[in-house]
Amino acid sequence: MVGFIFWGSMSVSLRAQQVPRFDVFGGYSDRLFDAPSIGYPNYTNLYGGGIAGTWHITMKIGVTVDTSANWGSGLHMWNYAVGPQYVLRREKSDIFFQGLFGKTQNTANIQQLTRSGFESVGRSFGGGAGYDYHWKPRISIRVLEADYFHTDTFKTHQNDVRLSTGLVFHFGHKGHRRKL
Amino acid sequence: MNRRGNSNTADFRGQRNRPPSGIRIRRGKENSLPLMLLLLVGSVGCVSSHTAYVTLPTGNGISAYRIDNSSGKLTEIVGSPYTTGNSPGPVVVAPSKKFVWVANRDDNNISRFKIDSTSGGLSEILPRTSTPFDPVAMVVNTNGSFLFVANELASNLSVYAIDPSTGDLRAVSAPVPTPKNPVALAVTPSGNFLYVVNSNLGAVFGYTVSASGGLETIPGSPFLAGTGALAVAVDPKEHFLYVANSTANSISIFAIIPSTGGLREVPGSPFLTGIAPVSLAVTISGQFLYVANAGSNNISGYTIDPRSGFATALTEGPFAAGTTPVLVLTDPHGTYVYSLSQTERTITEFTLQTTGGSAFGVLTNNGRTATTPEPAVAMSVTP
Repeated sequence: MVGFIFWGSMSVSLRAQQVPRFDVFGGYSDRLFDAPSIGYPNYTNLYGGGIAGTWHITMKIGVTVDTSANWGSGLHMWNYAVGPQYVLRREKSDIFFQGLFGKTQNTANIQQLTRSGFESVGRSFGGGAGYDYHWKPRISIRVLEADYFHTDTFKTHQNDVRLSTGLVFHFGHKGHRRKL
Repeated sequence: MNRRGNSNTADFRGQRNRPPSGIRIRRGKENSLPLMLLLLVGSVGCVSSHTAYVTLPTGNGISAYRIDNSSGKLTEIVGSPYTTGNSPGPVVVAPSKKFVWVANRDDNNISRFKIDSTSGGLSEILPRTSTPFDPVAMVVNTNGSFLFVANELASNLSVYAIDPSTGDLRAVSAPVPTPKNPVALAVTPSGNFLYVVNSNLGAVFGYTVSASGGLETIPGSPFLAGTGALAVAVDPKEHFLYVANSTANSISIFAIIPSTGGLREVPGSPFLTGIAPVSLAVTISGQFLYVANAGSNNISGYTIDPRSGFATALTEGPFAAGTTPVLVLTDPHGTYVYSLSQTERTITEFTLQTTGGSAFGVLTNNGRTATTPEPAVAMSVTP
């Protein structure tokens, strides 16, 4: 079904020639959390979602603000970050690269007599890349975004990977993309 | 591959999942890559591993560590140390790996903790179980039905029946009196015999354990060990019993008489150790014995003759173990050995050489130490 929509939308996307001034992404994310760093036996998948906004300063350079929340296996994570983004624009798609700097809040739900769990907030930094396919003039499908995060919580370090997919909504008009 | 495995493979390749013939989807790399990555992430597996729990009397807490099966490395578990009562001492883990019990020596009670099955973290379940004065040593039998407690200042033994689903403790009888100052306990793997070390008398008191948890003195008990007897261990095959004589700087080795639980000292016993042996650990094979020498800051290693019980010191030993090691312990696989140093607040990790001629049984310091937030006194590992 997804494949059918994908195929059917290709003709529409040919009209998507404008470069937006501002993008908003919303979608699903899966974070592979470095749980062994805090004593868990294995890397743990934390499922959730995220929202990000990107302001395109030039045709290729922008600033993105990113937040995501993920949970599972007695763990919760909230990440917020900001960083530069570089976009390679194609007629039907974009490939972007970004750096992210911010904070991560990790919570482990291990019930105690006086509290419900343990929480730690620490800095995070990382980066990643993604691929957007232009579905409609104002909407793209983020086929995949993959980001690496290094975080410092619970007095130790974590090396996480986050995979995201969803929709990107375009606002404003920055310029025209070159036809291939 | 089993039948289920084949079926899973077919789901991805079978006709049912193919698109209708009128629609062609070109499966380029850009389309298949996300799917592959998601499958990769989704395939993160579960590997069984062990957790270790260490009591911290001055901090009134218990630290928890994950043991890496492949390296022996200890990683502190999030939230650790967890709060206990006052002056926690002995700690034991249920064979079911669901519960940990900690004796709070100043409070004269036992804290019951539930082990979080995912993280290994601890959550205390109230109320605590009262004990007589100064619970100084605890041991649980192999099937997890009884918890035995030695109460040093009360000079008696408590036996508790364990509720397997809740970990709750119920005293099976009034405490059983012992001579003054019992300090250490060991129960045999069969659960039939309990041995109690008395430091003042330098002796081992033996008891048979009934199906209901009742204790009855073994004929011939007590059995004389050495001065300052402080620690006791039984080998996994229930052939021998070992006692560390901290003042005599020796270990006494006894053969266990299977029918009665009586003890017979093996030829050559006692065997010399370093200065002030205070803790013993027998490997799961029963082949090696390690002794923590608090006075000489090292661990002595011995090979045990499986028939006679004769202990031969490893010529490569003793193995340096930090300042004042108070405890030595092996992991459940017999691959790693750990020693606790109170003064340094560290747990030193060793790899036990399990293959190769003359190096068999040798301890190699992994060059890593885990730290404890406060001086530690006891440690227990999940089976």
